[in-house]
Amino acid sequence: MIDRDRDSSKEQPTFEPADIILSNLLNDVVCDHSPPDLTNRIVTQLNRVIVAESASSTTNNLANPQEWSGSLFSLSEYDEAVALAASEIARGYGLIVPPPVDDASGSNQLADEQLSVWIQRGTMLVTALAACVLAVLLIPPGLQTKPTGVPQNKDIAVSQMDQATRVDQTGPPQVANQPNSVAVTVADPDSNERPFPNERQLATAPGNRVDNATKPQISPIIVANNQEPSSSTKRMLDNDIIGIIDNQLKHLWKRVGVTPQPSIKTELWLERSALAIVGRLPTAAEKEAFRINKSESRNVEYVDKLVSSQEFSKRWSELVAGHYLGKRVVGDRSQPGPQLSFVKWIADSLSNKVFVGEIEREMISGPSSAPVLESQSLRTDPAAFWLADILERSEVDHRESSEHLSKKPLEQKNVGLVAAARQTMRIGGNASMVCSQCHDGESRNDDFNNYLASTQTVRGQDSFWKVPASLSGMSLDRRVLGVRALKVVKSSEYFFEDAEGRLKLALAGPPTQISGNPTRSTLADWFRSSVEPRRAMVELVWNEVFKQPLFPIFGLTEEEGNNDRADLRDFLASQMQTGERDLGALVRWVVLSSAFRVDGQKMDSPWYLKATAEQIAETQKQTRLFASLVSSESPILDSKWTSMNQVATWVKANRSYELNSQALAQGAINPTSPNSLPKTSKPNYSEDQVRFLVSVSKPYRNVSEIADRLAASQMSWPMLLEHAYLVSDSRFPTQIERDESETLLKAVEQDRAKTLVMIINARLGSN
Amino acid sequence: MAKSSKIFSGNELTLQPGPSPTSDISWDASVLITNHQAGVWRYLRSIGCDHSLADDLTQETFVAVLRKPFIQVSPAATSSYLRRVAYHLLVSFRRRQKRVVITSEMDQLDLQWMRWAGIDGDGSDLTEALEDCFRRLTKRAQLSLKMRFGENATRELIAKELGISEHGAKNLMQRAKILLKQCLDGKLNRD
Repeated sequence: MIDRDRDSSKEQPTFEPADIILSNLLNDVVCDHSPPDLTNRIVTQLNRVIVAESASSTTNNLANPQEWSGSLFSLSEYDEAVALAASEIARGYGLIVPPPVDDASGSNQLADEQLSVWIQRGTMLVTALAACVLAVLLIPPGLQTKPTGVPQNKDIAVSQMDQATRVDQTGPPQVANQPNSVAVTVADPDSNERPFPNERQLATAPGNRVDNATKPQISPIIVANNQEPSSSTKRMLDNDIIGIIDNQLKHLWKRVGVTPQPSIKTELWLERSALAIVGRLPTAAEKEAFRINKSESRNVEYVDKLVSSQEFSKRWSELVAGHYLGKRVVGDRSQPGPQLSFVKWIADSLSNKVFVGEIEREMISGPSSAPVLESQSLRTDPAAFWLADILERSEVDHRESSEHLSKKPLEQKNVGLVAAARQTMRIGGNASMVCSQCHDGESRNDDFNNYLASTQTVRGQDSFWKVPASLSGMSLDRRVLGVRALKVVKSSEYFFEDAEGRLKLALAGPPTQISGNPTRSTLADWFRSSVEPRRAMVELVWNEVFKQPLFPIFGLTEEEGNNDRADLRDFLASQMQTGERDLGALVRWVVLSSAFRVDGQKMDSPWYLKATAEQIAETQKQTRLFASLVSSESPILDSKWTSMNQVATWVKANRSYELNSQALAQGAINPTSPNSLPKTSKPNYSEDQVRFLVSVSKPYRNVSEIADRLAASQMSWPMLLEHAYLVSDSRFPTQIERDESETLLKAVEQDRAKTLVMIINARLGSN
Repeated sequence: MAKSSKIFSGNELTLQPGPSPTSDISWDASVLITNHQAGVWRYLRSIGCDHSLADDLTQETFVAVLRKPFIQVSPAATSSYLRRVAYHLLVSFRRRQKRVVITSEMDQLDLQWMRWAGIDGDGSDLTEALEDCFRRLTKRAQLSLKMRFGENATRELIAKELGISEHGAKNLMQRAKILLKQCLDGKLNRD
């Protein structure tokens, strides 16, 4: 329809805007078509939409008024179009007619760029004037010295220009219609959010930073002690949230007396962002696109593009699936079909920007009846797979237990139940739990099997979901503990804070009074509506982006564990919950924060060998406070050793083997069959194995020396473990890895140096 | 800034002219619709909407704008604002239809419209200029374009009617369009 003359052309069509407009207008001119009078039609439809919208808001009817007003568009689409247009007009677009493009093709990219820059520069003056006018409009009525001609009532205050100044970049991905275009949504008229001029918002984004003197100062978070973030927390704008992250960390650095490293160069930030968001370095095309993009919001656009890509969904679906299942998850075709389906289900949800709470609710709610663990449902029902996977793995892990021989259905076995409860606790707030919380009898948390032997009663045995469902009750006690945990505590202990704020270990007995009869759906609803699981998600994201958790429950010193970190985590979690934001929004906030731009330190083997003890301590302190980031510039390859539990099993089975790098490397080739290795005879290496051993020989060179130096220090085991992971992976260990390292430490009889060597070697095993 | 005028507020829109008690209104919604609907419609037509879609999107543009309070800043700003709303609704509409929307091309169409119609024009000048330019074409060129754009005739049919080859008909129409473009540029040069 656009250009009829091109229909039958065999030549490569060139885009000629003048031709297309001419052709379309010619159709009207030769047919003598004139614009129809649509006034009555518009008024009728407008009334219908307004009435529908009004009825919807007064009755809290969540149904889209679009459906019963007969509109072509939903209300959000109306809002989006209006806000985008208002934003463009506020920037001066459409108020100046740009000169025609000289290039004959009219589509020359360079000419387009120049044209865009011209428009941008040409409209700066207009924008500045418009900003002045906006400033007048946005001054609260109480601050105006004299009433002016500007209407004062609320309806007028939320005008189109006001709407244009409210930028929210979490909405659906917007097409860059103009070089400066940003996604703008209409502000909620009932919101108490203060107007925040567009230019100022953009200026606060990383890369567009302005001097502190001119930068809007957002106070650090102030959350009352022992107080859950209010359920009425307002949904804040993205840039305000990013500003709060920055200010909260600045506040922490100032209080602790740490000077953050200077900001990194743009190119390094591009690489760091891409690594964090999509797990790879930026392509040359992405870098070039960023370079030629002269708009003020190019950093935001760059991050938005990455976050809305399929690569983001794929990478983060694996991470989220691993978080839910409690194991490392890979989404490639080598994995079992049901697991792939599970990862794909999460990836689709992330692509569609589904609220994280909704994903968790669906995953936990499952079928209405008892869990169905048939093969078909595992492939099609994510909830069924989630449960079955946890149960099966726990069964394998505890195969020495007599329970595996029983004829009970899988979901009724205690081992699986405990595993499911523990995993649910992790997802529901990064918490650990101990046996005595659910079992009668003495508290014997040292060994699971011994404990099973000493007690028979499992609370809620008759109702599978009763124990995990009691989380909603437990959280009442637990939600304050993470905030105020100032002591280094063993990871296998569950602890809580009493009414006086003192930290206490859990004792035997019922964890809490559970009202009613909790069911699986009760738990699922709790995951949907509670802010606690969002905290776990914040930790997951922060850990992936900054390579260490925001608030690790274990291993923080008193000053590091100050409330600032926990408050920041709670704030981010509450904003996720309040706004029902998707995971991409959270990643975006963190990556666009100024803290993500501080310079880094690569704490690799050579660095450890040269550094003094003071340097090691200072650098570690800086990195633990996000004032310096652990550099991960070199790509990190995954080891074939998937967990330290696996290494511990291998060590137990090969006790007589010398615990050197060669043996471990060979073990890495076939770690699942530890007993297959001959213990005395010299192994015959295949060609592939030799190549593998040669490739890994270099990283092993100085590990023993590093481990000896670290082990000789007075550092606690969690600190030593952090150094081991910094050497091997350029990151801090996750909570699961911390737990597993304890197992390995036991397996090598508390020899810290030897354990460190093994951990580092195992991590480097497949490089 | 120009005088601020509230043209719509409340839950029900009426076409009763006259000022609202809350502001010095010299306009009402009907004035806005009357003054700008033709411009929005022509704009939508010129960037590729058929008649039916142009009608619908013109209606939806005013619904989108008038369902919230509106402030008139200047005629040019209002005109551009309505046009941009229409533009974004069209983009949404096409996305929903799973059609590829090349926004850079859409932007070029928008810029070209502004060059010819002006930032505050409703396209009537452009249409008049085009009619004038069209009348200056030779009868054969006019006939070929009328058949092509008015009757949707194929190139083969046009060639047969004019007694020339198909290739000749194509050249004739291309030359005619170039002349029209030059004529419009001459008449509407706003740079």
